[in-house]
Amino acid sequence: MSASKVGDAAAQGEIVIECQRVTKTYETGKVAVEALRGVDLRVGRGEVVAVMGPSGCGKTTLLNCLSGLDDVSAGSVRIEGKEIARMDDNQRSDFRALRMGFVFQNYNLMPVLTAIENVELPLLLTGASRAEARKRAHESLKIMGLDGRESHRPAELSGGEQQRVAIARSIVNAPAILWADEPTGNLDTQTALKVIELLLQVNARTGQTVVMVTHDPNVGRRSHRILRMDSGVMVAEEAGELAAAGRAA
Amino acid sequence: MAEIALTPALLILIIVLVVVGAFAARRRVLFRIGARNFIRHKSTSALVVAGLLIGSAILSAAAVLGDSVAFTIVRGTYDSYDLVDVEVRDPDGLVLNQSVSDALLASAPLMDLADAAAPLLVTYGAVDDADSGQAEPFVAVQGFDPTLDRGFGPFDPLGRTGELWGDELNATSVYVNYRAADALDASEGDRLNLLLLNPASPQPVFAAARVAAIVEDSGKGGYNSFATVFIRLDALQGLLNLSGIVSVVRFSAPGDREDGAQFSGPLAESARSVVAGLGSAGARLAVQEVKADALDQAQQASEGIRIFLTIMGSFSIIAGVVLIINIFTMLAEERKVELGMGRAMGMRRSTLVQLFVFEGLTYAVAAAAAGTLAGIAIGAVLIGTLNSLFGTLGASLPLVIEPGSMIDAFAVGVLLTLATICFAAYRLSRFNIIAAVRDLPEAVTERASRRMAYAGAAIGGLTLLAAIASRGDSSIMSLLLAVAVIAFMVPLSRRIPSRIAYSGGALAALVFVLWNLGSHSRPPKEASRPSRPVSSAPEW
Repeated sequence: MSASKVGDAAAQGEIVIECQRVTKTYETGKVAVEALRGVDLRVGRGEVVAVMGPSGCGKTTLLNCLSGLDDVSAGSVRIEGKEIARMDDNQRSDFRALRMGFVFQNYNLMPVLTAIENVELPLLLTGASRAEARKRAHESLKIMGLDGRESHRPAELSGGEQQRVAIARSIVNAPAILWADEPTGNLDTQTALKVIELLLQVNARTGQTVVMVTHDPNVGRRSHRILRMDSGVMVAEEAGELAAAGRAA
Repeated sequence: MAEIALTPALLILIIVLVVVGAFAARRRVLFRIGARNFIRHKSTSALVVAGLLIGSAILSAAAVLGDSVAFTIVRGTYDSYDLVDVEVRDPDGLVLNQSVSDALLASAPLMDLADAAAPLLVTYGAVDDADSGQAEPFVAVQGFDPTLDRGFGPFDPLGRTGELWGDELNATSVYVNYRAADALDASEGDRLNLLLLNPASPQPVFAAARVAAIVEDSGKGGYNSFATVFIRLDALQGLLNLSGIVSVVRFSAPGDREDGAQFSGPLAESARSVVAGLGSAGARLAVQEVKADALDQAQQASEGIRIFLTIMGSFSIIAGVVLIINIFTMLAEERKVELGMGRAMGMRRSTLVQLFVFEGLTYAVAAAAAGTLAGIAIGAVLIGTLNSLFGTLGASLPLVIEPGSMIDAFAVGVLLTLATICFAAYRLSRFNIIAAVRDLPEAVTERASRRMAYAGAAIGGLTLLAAIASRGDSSIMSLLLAVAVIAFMVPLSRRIPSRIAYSGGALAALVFVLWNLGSHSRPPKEASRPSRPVSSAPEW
């Protein structure tokens, strides 16, 4: 199997993410840097995929290109059968709002909003009623074990709690795909594992596809598949603990 | 309570507030974020408001100064003309036969439109007070008919109650107004020696009179704003040997001294038709709406001062606009990460613009309110400085704060700030999501995008056409040309270095604005309607 075909093979069931020969080139002055060099990937619905590799190998760039936050230089990215490159900026924004959730290393919560207001924000932006948004935000925070912390502002929460609020925000609109870029990068080991377990609980309950970029092998192995990247290409693929657990079950 | 006019700026502001309010009601969460950012970051908000208030302060200070000058001129106009609204006179300053006055006063249609009408003989001269020993080299001497003049109201005696109608005057007794009495150090009963110019002869006429009363400068005693001696018409005609001759026939339109000007049109029209019917006797005569003309001039003077000060202040306003853009760039930079997250979770660019506009509106309203108050303070300081500089010359400018002008300055201030914020928000909404989320520096693109280039060319073309269409009005034309040249620099910046393009455009815009300033400093064209300044010079 060629390196670029590594991630293309193992997806089971309905394919929600499919990319072919994706390249991404950054031009810095007169120097062109190839961050992705012909990546192929297929991810099935409900799959948890961890993308790992050394710094600068293109993990985050891949996540950005797959989620439509960045444009690809060549190749195609299809999410739930829709070609991302053909969407204009508004269509892409709406698609992200309705079908995707994001968790980043720095939590990125609105500091002037309370925990529950942060969580209900994606729903209000997509036109949900205030009552419906509040109800679903409560549910999301409850899943994340944050009952009683609804009216706290981000500055009044610990790092782990902020990341859980961020996860609650990313799942509140029941997206098809959850993108997580170093979701535990700012957390200690214990808290990181708790947060990952919460993510996996969400995956088990709702069947959302999770694609996470991580450096942490403890986090990476809590997945169905681990994709290893180097110098802009997929170089290896291995089964995670969830796949083994699934086979055992 | 003062009446507030619905000016275009106020109307636009109301429409903008209604539209923004409707969006805020629809997207309450965005409005909540904007409002909370304003409230929670108090020191930042205070700094931002301080930075944004420049435009409103300049507009408001210009309005205060313009209104103060206008008020002074308007007050002078009312003091000078009191109940007189229309005058019939020979524009060359020559006298007219009293038969003309009689014909005018005998016209029933004309008199139906007038509250009062009376002839007046006016001459000028020098006078000395034999009792105080003081002399005044230049006074106006007005001969009036106490009976016909009753319609113009009484004289107000200085320092005592009651009314004076002139009935007790005889051939050798006169009233003097306060200006004349002050110059002569005159008291009631003083003996005056008059040296009068004679319009019909190069030889002056000497006369003696006694001061029957000193009257206030306001109302009837302030007519023409000169130091004046009031004498009976027949007595002055006798002294000058001008029997049956008058200088002017005055009419009062219905209403008090402030309402009369708006009803003077039909009265003047009727007087013109009577004058036209007089044949050769009326050929040289002009019918003038003196009060309305003077009020128009006051309005023009006020507008002129306001435009002059606004153009002088426009450089500061432009600097303020640049400051607003910088302030919002700074605010966006501070919140880059959360804005980037907003975009990642599906906020459209237009949603981000709304977010900025909601927050910006709170800044704009606060800054315009503070700026308007600051402008009043600046106006007060300017007026105080002018009064201290020219106070020794007897000039005194009152501080006049017109609520309408202040609301207008506030409205323009809000709109100016909000328009700049919208522009800044549009630019800022085009950030790179990934760089924002990861708090990385944004790659700088100096070249305008193709869409921006087309937009710049379109705006440039439209404003150029508008400038050509408005070539009759140099101030509008030069401002439109300034906008056009800057807009054309946007597509040009794709061909040449953007710094050269925009610097060159700004320089050209500056030339157009200065050209406009130069054209405003030239003397104005003569008004189409014959008019006379409030304090006219002697005509003989």
